Amino acid sequence: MPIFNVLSLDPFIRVNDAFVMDHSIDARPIEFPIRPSIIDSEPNSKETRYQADFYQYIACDLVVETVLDYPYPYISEKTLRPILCKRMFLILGPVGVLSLLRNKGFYTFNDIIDESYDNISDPSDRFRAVISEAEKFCSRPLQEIVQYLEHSHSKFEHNFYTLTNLQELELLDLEKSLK
Amino acid sequence: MKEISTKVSDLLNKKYHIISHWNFLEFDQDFSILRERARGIKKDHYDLKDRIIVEHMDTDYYVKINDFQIGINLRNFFGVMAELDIPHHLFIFYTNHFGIKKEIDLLCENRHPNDRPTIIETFLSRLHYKQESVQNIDFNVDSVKFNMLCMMHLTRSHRNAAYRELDKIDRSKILLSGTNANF
Repeated sequence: MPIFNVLSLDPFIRVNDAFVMDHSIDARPIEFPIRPSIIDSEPNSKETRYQADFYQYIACDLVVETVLDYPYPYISEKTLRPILCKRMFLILGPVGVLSLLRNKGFYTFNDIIDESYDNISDPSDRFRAVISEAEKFCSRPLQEIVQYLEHSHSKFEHNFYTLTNLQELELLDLEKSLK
Repeated sequence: MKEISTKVSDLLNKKYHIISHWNFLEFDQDFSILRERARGIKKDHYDLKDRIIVEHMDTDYYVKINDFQIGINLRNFFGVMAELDIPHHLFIFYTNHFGIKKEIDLLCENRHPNDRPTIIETFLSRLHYKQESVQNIDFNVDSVKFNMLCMMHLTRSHRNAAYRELDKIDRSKILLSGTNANF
């Protein structure tokens, strides 16, 4: 058997960023760090990786997942964090993330956010749809959103419960499938 | 760090004889490392219960091959295994790539249907979720001051683009945060 020709990663490092290549979306680098004083620690520190106190001040987390232009739903701690903090989420990520979450038993928030972005396969169009929903959500009066949160309390409890029980359920499924 | 949950690992160890445990992060920058590790487990024959756990939780990089998207790292993995003639049924993929079976089926299309890896799909890796770190906090909306929060960590194109758009929103409505980590 001849030696397999391993493809080097370097030339492809930006392949998953192809969605910005047509320059219709401005993705020029940002001068980070930018951190409002209310966020009193690094967004991804040991203390804030799963839950953070400053979530008490917000209604909805716009999760910018690890990848946007990707063939699979990709879910990391970024998406799990608002669930664990009992808050809403809007996800800028691959197509089908919300669908995967629903299939796992989680509520999403299509009674207040247009979640059709989750079905948009073109990453540039999906990006625009998510940003548009973020703008709309931010234009709502805060009082109206707080009322929605209060009214939806059981959904947040359910989501927390679903996530903290998921590992056991997956383990049971795995046990069955390996028999 | 092993990303597989302890309970899943225990179950697999109970069910199978785990002869090795690999993580793509250990070799995805240098596949000669994988080649060496695979040579280390190469045998003329394997026991019925021999298995190798392969953790594939990090992002892959995609190219279109025959109108189908294939992850470069995944392609490299199976290429090296084919080169060394390692049976593919040995592998148990622990992955957060929901739907990776399509890719694996394509990469293994010349293998017998029984000589395919087992795939365990989950987003609950130890890197992304630690049950013991989670507290059941009280649901409380009394302190809500902002409609939205958006935090960005590693610099990526879609985050730059998101920041540029969200920066136009009134800061009394949205909390924006970013750190300075680069590619």
